[in-house]
Amino acid sequence: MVRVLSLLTIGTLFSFPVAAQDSFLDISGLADFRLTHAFAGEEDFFNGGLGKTRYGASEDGSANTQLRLSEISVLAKADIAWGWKAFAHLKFDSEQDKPVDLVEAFVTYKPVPSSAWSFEYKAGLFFPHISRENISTAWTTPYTITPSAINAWVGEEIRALGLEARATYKTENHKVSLSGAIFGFNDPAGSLLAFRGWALHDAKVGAFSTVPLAPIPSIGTEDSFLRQAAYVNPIRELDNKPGFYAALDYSYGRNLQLGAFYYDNRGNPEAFNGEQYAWDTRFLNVYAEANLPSDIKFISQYMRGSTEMGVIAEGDRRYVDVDFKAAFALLSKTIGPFRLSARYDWFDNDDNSFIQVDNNFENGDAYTVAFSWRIDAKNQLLAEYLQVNSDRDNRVGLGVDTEQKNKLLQFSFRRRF
Amino acid sequence: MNLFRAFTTGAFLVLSAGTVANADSIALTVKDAKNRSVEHAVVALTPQFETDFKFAAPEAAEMQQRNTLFAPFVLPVQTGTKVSFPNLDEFRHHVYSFSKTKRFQLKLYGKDESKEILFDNPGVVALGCNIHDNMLAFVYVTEAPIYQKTKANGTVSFEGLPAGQYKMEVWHPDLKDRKSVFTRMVAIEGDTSEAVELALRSVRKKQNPPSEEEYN
Repeated sequence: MVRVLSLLTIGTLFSFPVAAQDSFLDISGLADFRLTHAFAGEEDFFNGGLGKTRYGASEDGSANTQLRLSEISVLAKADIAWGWKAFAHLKFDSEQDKPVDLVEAFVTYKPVPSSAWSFEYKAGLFFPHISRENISTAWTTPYTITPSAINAWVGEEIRALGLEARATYKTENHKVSLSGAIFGFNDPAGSLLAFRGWALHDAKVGAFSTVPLAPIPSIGTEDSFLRQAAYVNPIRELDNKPGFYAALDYSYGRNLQLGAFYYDNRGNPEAFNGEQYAWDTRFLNVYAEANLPSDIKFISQYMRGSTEMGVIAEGDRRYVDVDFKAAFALLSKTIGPFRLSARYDWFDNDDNSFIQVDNNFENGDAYTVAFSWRIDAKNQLLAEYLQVNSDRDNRVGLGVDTEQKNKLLQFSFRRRF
Repeated sequence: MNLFRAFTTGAFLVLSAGTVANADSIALTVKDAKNRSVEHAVVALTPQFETDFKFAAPEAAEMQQRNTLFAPFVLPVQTGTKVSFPNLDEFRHHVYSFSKTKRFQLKLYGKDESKEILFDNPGVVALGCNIHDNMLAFVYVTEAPIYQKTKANGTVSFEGLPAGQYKMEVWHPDLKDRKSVFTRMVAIEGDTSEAVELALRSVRKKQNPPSEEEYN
């Protein structure tokens, strides 16, 4: 962590009557170096395939081993006044559309509580609090290298540019929070879930970046069924209509957490601009998290929702009309600086319209096993094996089998600074 | 002048000798209903007789912030005490309490900034930090002149007390009945020992260390 000279300290140099000796601004960060081995099979979705991992097989389908710099994140935290904080997260990833991009930038205001109720407000660009995994520095997960399918999707398509208010009631060991937000600039959310389906990866997407879509016949060209470009730009406003989310969270000490989160971007599915549609995407996410005996942590999330885009046509359905469901359960055990985690993911999408030309049915599951070693406060080593088994109908458009097994072995060295 | 100083010093020595002469003591063991030792219980004694005995405060009236934790977890003080709040961390703490006994907030910049708060009413003051949610501590303000808190093994002892009848009050952050403290009359003579069983909530309040994982 780099200590940056406080503006207030400069203030004291000019003998302002401010007793400030601490830092105004903290800059910290994360560098993530990887050794990746993708087993022979399908190309990943970043490189023209429908493979469900961040790093897939080579173009010819052979195994692919690489040494990479997966990410450098820089985090700036500032105490701008008592009760006020500012936060920004910039990410460098050479494979990202914009190699340097903004992940989050927001201010929070938390007045000192005057009763068991406390209130907190947030404004800016931020991840809604859906993920129970991405709690570590630079929105990484301490349990695995790769977050679950649900939270990988949150990392790429769900971002709020908006205002959030949260009220928390705290008594003895119980804590209940109710939060709500209005936001814009999240209209294309849902595109990836429809055209690509679920994926498991840790490439959170910068606000100005796009994510490529595989060259399936229904999109991407003049003759395609849909005018959608062969990429998604998740953080965009297309219909000038704000969306909202609301959440209820409960915790009992540090041992049990339960919650529900409902999101609706209130997209106008007929709004179209710059080859991007506004998608009407809504979902419910529920979670349970518990500390079990023997230092074992249990985390589970379940999400279900729907996304629609285009005009109403055949059978009173829109061009794209997909229902999505996913769930995972994770167990993680710590032994001193070591952590062993295992996760099972399951996902299932139904397509309700135009499946003759644009079939987005899919189902699958995934197994993740990871080992982490926190060498010290700055250094961490992780090893992970991930296998995603999926059956996706629109793979036919790429000339590959609809059933695929994507297998990826990764070693990560995370260095905090 | 020298003569006066010699006289006062002599008088002081005599008085000190007088207090040392109080050789009575009480040793207490505090347990919960499951016979487990109870740490952080404040035992306060009020003599039920006239005495000019002065009992020194058992610990400095100080609530530190160090490594994103309050220390101590429980601080007993007598009514009218000024407690200092030194911040030994390099970053800010925003200490507050909305307890009826004392409502206040302190804005403490890092690196040894210290401020004081006067606790002028008896009762319980729960402390928090508006920046660090994990921080939790209690100031227990008592009118009793003699007080101490139990150690990890649930014991506390008071030495050199004048013999006699005392009102003993025992408070703990997890008392089931938050409206009243445990009260009993004790007679201290020679080496007295007492055992106290407190009815406590099954889940204990504790100050968690700051989360290892922190994003924003």
